[in-house]
Amino acid sequence: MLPPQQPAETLRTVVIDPGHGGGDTGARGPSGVEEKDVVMDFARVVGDSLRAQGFTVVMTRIADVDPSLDDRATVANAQKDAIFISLHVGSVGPLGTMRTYTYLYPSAVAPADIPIAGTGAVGGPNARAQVSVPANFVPWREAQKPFLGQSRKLGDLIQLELSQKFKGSPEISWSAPVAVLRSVEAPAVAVEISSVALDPQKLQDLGGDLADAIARAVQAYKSIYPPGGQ
Amino acid sequence: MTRQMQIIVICVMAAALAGLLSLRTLHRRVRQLAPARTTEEQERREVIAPPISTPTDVTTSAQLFWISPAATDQLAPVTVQLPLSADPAQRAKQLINELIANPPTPAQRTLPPGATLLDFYLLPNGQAVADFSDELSTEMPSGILSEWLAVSSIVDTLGVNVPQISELKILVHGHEIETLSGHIDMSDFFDVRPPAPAPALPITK
Repeated sequence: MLPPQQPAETLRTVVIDPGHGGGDTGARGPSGVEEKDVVMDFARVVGDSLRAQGFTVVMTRIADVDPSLDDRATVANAQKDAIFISLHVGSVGPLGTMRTYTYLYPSAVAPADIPIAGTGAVGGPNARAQVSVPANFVPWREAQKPFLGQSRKLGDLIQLELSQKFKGSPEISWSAPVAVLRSVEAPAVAVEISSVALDPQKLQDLGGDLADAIARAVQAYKSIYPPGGQ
Repeated sequence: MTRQMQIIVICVMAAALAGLLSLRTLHRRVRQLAPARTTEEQERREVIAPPISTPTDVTTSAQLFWISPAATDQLAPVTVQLPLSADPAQRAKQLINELIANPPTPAQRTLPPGATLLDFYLLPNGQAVADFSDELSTEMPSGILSEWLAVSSIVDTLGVNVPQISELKILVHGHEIETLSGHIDMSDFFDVRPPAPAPALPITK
C-alpha cells in the first residue's frame, strides 16, 4: 500500500530506469551485444540531456546490478513531482525504430481510443469490481492506474519526437502490460528500440538522438504537467 | 624371420585391421545414436502433447494470428483449415498447438518452437488457464514488442475462434511467472474477446 501522492506543483525529477542488469542480460544480439549494457549507455546520455534542461535525474541503477521490478518502482515512488522512463532494446521489430509504451491493464480501465500494441485493436471500458481499500491508500499493484491518462500524454509526446528522429517509428505511444510500469505512482512509460541485432556501434550512436528526443518531449510535457494524477 | 614369426606378425596385423574396421563401425553407430536421441525427444513431446482429436472434430475455417508479413511489429490473421473440436477447451488446445507448430513462415512465428502446451482449463465463467512448458519463457526472444506479440497471438486467436473464453491466464509448469521474458506482466488474466473490426491504428510512418 502507498500513501497517495500530494498534488504536484511542477515537474522536477525524471527517474530513468535502465532495464535489466547483473545476471539478467535482457535481449542479446548476434554480435554479443547485451541489452543491459546498451540501455545503461543510453541512460547516461539521456540523463545528461535532462540535467542540462534543469531536471533532477534519478537512476534506478548506476552499476551492472539487477534491482527487482518492485525495487525500481520503489525508487520512483520515493520521488515527489517525478516521471518515470524505462529504457529497453528489443530482440525483434524493424531495425532502428523506437516505440514508447504505456501500461495496459488487462481488464482495461484505459480510454477507448487507446491502441493496443501490435494488435490493431483498441482497449475499451470494462468495469470490474475493485478490491475495497482504505480511501487514502493506493494498492501497490494498482499504483499506475490513476496515472494512465498522464502516462499516455507523456508517451505520445516522447513518441512524436522519436518518430521524427527514427524513421519507421509509430507517431503515437502504444499500450502493453510492461511489468516495470505497473507499480509506479507517477506518469510512467517504457521506450524500446529495435533491436540488438543492429551493429553495436550503430546502436550506441542512436543514444544522442534518443536523448534529444526525450529531453524535448519531457520539456514539452512539463508545461502540461498537472496537479495530482489524472 | 621364421615361418612361425611370419604367421604371428600377419595375425597381429589382421587383428589390428579388424580392430580399426570395428572401430569405424562403432564410431558410425555412436554417430547414429545422436539423431536417435532427437527422435526420442520428439516422441517424448508427442506423448506430452499428442495431436488432439475428438469425435466432434470438424474441419473448420479458423483465423490464427501470427506476425504480419507486411508489418513485422503487428499481428495479422491467417485463415487456416483445421479439424477443430466442438469442446471449447479442446478447441483452444488445438489452436494453440497450431500457432506453435505451423506459422506460415519462420519470420511470422510468435511463440518459441520448443514450447509445449501442457494443459488448458476452461471454467464455466469463461476464465481459462493455459499451462505451458518452460520453453515458452526460456526460448522467448526478450523484449516488450516480441513478448506482447506472443501473448496477443494467443489471446487474439482464442478471441476469434473460441467465444466461450473471456479471460486467459498463462502459466509455466503450473506456476505464475512475473514476466514472459523480462518485460510483459504475466501476473493477471488477459482479456480475451474478438478483436474490434480493425481500426487502422497504430499509425506507422
